[in-house]
Amino acid sequence: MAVACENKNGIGLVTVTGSLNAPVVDSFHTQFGGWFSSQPEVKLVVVDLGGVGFMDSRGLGALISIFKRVAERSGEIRLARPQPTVKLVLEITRTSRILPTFGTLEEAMRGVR
Amino acid sequence: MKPTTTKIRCESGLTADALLVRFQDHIKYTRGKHAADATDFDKLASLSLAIRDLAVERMLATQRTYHDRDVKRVYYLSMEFLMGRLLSNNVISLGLRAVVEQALGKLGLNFEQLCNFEPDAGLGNGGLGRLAACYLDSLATLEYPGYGYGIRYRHGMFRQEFDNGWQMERPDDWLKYGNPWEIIRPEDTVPVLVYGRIETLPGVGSGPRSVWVDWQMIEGVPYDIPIIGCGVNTVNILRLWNSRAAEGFRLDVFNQGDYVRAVEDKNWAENVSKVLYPSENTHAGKELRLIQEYFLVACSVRDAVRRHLKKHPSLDNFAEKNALQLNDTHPALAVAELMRHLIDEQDLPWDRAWEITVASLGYTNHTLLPEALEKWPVPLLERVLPRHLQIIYEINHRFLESVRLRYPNEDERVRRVSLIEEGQVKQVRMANLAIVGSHSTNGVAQLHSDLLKAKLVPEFAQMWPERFNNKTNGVTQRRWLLACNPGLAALITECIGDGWVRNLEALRGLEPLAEQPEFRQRFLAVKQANKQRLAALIAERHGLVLDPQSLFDVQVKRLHEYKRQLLNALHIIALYYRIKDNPAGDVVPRTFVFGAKAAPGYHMAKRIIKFINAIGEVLERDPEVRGRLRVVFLPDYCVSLAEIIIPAADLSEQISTAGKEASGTGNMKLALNGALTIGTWDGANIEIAQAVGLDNIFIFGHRAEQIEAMTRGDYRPSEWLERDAELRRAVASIRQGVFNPNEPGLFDDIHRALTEWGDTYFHLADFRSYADAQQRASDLFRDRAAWARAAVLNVARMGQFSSDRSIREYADGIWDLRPVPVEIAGTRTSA
Repeated sequence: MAVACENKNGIGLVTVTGSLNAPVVDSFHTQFGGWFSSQPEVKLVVVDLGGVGFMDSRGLGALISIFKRVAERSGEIRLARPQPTVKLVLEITRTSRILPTFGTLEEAMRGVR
Repeated sequence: MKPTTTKIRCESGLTADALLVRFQDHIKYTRGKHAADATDFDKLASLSLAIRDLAVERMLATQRTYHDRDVKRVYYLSMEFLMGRLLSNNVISLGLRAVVEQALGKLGLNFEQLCNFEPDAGLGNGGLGRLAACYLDSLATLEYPGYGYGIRYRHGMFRQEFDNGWQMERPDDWLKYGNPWEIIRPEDTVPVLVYGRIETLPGVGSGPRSVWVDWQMIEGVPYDIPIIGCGVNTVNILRLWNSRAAEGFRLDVFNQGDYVRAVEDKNWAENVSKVLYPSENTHAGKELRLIQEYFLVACSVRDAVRRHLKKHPSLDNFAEKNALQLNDTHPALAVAELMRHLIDEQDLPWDRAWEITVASLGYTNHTLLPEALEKWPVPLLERVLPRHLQIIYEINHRFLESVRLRYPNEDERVRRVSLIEEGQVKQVRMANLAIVGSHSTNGVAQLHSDLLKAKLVPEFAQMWPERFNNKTNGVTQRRWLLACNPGLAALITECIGDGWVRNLEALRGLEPLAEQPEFRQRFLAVKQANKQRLAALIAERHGLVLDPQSLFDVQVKRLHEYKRQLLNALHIIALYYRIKDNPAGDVVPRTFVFGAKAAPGYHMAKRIIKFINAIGEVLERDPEVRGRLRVVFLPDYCVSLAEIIIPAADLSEQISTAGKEASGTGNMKLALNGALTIGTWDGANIEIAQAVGLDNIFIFGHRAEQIEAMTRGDYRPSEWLERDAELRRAVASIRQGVFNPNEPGLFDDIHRALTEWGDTYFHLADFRSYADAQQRASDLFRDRAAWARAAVLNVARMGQFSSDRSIREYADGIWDLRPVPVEIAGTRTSA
């Protein structure tokens, strides 16, 4: 798994590639946590899941954990481009009701489906 | 006598030479062998694949037709499909028997011998699973858009061996060499989530929302088996789900050198479809069984929804286009799963989701035995399926509110219909869930359906009388006459044509022939040949030489106390003493043939098997009895063995305690093959008696209401013993150790069950009536013409017990389903 975090005009863009699963969630937390703390003005975080082929419950837990951190800042998190199996998991677990999910990165950045 | 074959008019234009090319191509290119090196299984697999190729063409056309015409489909959800062997039936269904025999003959191969190499697909315990298989055959033959959904168990029903008369269970390994009939569909793999908890999080704009977290994921991989309609182009699909880990093995752990832990998840996931649970009627508490049931439901519902969404933008019209039939309560979680799907994934409001769920689902009840009614402990459900438990609670809350409104101040009624049974550990009543969450609840024989309404769930029947109905079970004549009894099939076809293959009521045309001596002679000759075939098999496998002239008295079914194999045994003992008391007496020679598996944990059932084997040994050793009474307990009773035993039976033992057997289907198969029934007024025996006439069946014993009265009252087994010396002597012989001289006390529990523990299944109360009926059977058997006449009339009057009739009733009365003929250029069908 690889994580890239960047500030795109005030929007946090987190790009994940590989499997988002138990072996990598600690690394994911560390990378995102450190970056997010350094970006106090970021209120909207978009997680690009287009490169995630597999996500287990620990991976989902990591997304929920981000959600909580962003919510503490009264911010918002959106998910972009989940692959079909990941999208299905988000729907089955009802995560997509809390973390709005978008088909493209642009839609997620704009908040328009 | 080599019987002529009954031809199915369904020609694909395939010649023997063309089939031979396909067969040889599969030997070479699929099996990777030179013809000279091919094993028997290579040949079996190659022929099966050649036949499958033909079926696949029709399967594709069938699925295309269903899709293009946007037809309503039925999905039959069953934890068991007792399919047996497929090659012979598939060849017959395609009308290719002669072509196959001709093609194989050119290579010096014998079709029947090749068929015997095929392992049984034994993915079921007994009647319920075989019923599902018969229904698939009828759905396809009647051109209904139907699908079976089940589990691809790696190990099906255990293989039974006897060791000193005791049942030993060995693992079934039907997939050892692969299954040529199945087609894997990895592209339709579905994720299934289990375990975890529901966490409530602050929502975005609409209040708190709950999320399912900490779950584990497994995947369901579908394997499709074509179900070939007989004489039509329709080829439906049985889709069996295989479980596997969602994420292979843990490479990170593997790389750290912990090889065992690296595959733990993989092994756990694969275990879900590893083993068929033997029927012990007490699965509660077995976590893996619960996960299996949910696995079937989750995969199947998602698959049905996926297929629907290929043609429709939403699930709003799901119920108009799909019917899901629950074969017993095993798939009853479908109620909660479909609701979860509609609410959580499709965002439908509760009330609309509920309408769709109830309208889509139908439930078949298969038992009245209280111990067989599934209940799952709430703590277990909460741990395995936390979201589903929430939904079940919400269904129950809304349902009980409506009950309280309709029946105010009736707390006892509310308690009885609740989906949750209170107690030290709360339990979810799966039958109640299935009834509340479906628009139809049916029993499987008229008596059973009546008792279901009157005794098991009277409050529901009172509340929703329109939901309750009867669908008497049936059997497919394609397997249970045409394929398994080619001699009788040919004789019938010669006399009345082959219309019976697709319309069993046509057998009625045999009735006048029952009066013709010449026909009766031919009928008896076929029976004799079938008895010789069974005797030859027993001689080959077990080294026993049977007398095919003796009366073949057959009891083949699961071993359960309510089915009363023990009553049969008591009668054998009584006959034994009659001969001992009067060696010169005129006794009709009998061969008692048993076939039965006992659930591995059902100790009394296993002891009864040992007991019957022990009786057989004593009879075998006694020179006064030898040749007059014979007991043969054939190990490993399964579909393919049934196909040999049933055509050879003279007498069919259907002797369950009245009110206990839901329907039975063995009773139908045996009568259809010309056996006379000795039976209680129970299950479908009643309808068989009404159809064949009381002169042509041996009915005995107390009726269900009498049994119930004795149960409520003060049944004293000792009173029945006191008034019947023959019974007293038979029962005493158990205590005296007549059949276990070297192991004192071995059968004491059987004796106690009959005498001290209340004789729960009323063996003693029914014994005299049973023995008298057996005497009537013996007397009639001596009169060969009269016996043959009755047997012919049994066959002639079995039309209503075709699974075709059952399926038409399901289609019209529950599913609102229409036949959809499939057109293929260049094929001609008999439809």
